[in-house]
Amino acid sequence: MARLRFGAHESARLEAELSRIVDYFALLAEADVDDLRPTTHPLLTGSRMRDDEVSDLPTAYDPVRAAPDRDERFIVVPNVL
Amino acid sequence: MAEVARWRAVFTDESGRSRWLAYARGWNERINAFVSFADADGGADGGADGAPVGPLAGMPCAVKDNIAVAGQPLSCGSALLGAHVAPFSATCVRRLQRAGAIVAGKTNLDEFGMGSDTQASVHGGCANPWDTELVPGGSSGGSAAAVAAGIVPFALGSDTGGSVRQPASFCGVFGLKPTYGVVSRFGLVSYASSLEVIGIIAETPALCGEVLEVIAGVDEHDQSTVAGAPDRDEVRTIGVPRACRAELRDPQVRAALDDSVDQLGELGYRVVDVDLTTLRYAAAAYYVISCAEASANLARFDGVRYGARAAAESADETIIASRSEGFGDEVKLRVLAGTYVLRSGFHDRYYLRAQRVRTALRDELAGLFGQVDLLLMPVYPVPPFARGSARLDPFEQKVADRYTTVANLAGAPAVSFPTPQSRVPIGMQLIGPNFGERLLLDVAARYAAAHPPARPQGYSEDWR
Repeated sequence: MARLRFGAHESARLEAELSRIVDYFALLAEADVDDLRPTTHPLLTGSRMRDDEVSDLPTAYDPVRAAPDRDERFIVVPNVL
Repeated sequence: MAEVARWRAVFTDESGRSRWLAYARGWNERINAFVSFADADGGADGGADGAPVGPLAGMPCAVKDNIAVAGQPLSCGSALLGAHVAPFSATCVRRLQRAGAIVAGKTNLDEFGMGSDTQASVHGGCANPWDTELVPGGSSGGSAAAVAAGIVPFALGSDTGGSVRQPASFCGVFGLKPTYGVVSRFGLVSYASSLEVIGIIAETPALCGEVLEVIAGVDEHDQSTVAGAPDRDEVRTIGVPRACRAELRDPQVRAALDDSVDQLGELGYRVVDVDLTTLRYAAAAYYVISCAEASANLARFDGVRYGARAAAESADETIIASRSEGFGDEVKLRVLAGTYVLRSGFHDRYYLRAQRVRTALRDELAGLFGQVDLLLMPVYPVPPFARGSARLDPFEQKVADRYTTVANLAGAPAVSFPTPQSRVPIGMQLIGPNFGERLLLDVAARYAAAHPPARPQGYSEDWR
C-alpha cells in the first residue's frame, strides 16, 4: 500500500524501528478519551467559496517542463496497459 | 530599528552582494546551512527605479527548501525531487517579495521536514554555528543556523511538530510558530497538513513580528487560512506545567527552566504551576496523526511528473522503484507507520484515538487559558546533541518532541526564545491562546531586553 520495496537488510532495520514506534503508540490506549469527538482540524471555519470569475492563478505554468522524461509537449511514461 | 537599517544596505550594490556572498560562503563551508544561493535580485519587487520598496525593502532572508520560490531549486532535502526547480512561489514568499525582501537562498532540512537534527538530507548534514560537532536541531536547521551565524536577519521554516522552535532553540535565536491557518501553506510541500504552519526564525522578536505582519492573512489558495484576534490584550500570568519540572532529567535544561521562571517573575509576571495531564500523550498522538497524514501526502511522489525517475519496465514498477530509491530511511519509516495506523481494523485503535486525545489536549489547554495567559515550557528535554553516531537516535528524538507537539496538536501559537545561562544555546517556549502571537512576542522582547542573547564565535557585522 505504501508503494515501497525494501532489501533484506533494510527490511530488518525498518521492521525494528517500526515496532518501536507502534509499541509507543500503545500509550494512547490508557488515555480516557472514549466519549470525546475526534479533532480532525484545529480551527475549522467551514468552506469558503470565491466568486465565479476568471482570474490568473500563480500555478499557471507549463507542468510538462518539470517532467523527468518528455517528448515535446507530452510526459513520457512506461506503458500503463 | 538599527539592526534592520544595517541589513537593508547589504544588497544595495554589487560590492555589498559580494561581501555578503563571501561571508555566507565562508560560514556555509563549515555549517552547510544553505543548499542553494539565489541569483542577484532574489526576486524582490522593485519600485520605479528598480530598487526594492516596502516594509522589508532590501532585507535579505532565507527560505527552507520545502517552500517554493519560483525559479529556485525545491529539493525538500530528498533525492526523489532531485534537481526540481519550483515553477511558482508560495504565497508567503510572494508577500515577502512584495514587501521588498530578497530571498538570498534556500536552506537545509531533514528530508520533507521529518526529523529533529537536519542530518537526514540529500545535501548532507547541517552543523550548529555554536559548535560544528553539534546538530543545529531540525527540521528547519538550515534556517536557524543561517540566522544564528548572522548570514540573514530572518528565515522562513515550517513547524509541523516543533521544526521551527527546536532548531531556533538549539541555535540561540527566536522561532515563532504562528496560530494554525494564520500563514498560508500554499507553496509549502505538505507533510502533515492539519498540524503544520510556516514559521519565522529571526534575530529578534520584533523582527519575527514584522515578518509575520507581512506574510499573515487569508489566502484564496489555502482554504485553511484564517484571520482573528486574541481573546485578551495583556499578559499577567504565566503557567508552568508541573510535569515539565518533575520529569526533566537534564541539569542544564532544568536550570534554564528554573532560571527563566525567576527571570519572568522579575519582569513582573506572575508565574504559577499548572497541570497539563495530556502532555504525557502528546508525542504519541502527534506521531500517529502526522505519519497518517504523511502517508497520504507523500503518495503524490511517483517520479512521473517531476523529480527523479527510476528506470523500470512497467508504470507500477517505475513508481515503486522511484519511491524506494528516492526516499530516505526516516521518510519510508513514517510512510509505513502511517499506512499501518490507517489500515482497516487499526483505524479506531490508533488514528481515531489519537484525534480524541487531540480533543482532550485542546480542551485542557482552553481550560488553562482561563487561569493563565501563557504557558512556559522547555522546547526540548536535552541541549543540542552531537552529530554522528552518538546522536540521539530517531526514536528518542520523537519522544523528545513532546513539549513542542502540544502547540501543533492544539493549533496554538508559540515562540521559542534563547536563555542566557548555558554553554550551548538552550531555549524555552511560550505557548499562547489562538491569535496571541503579539502577546508572545512582547513577552519574548521584554525578556530579551533584560537578557540579551549571545552570538556564536565567528558571527560578524563588520562586512555589512
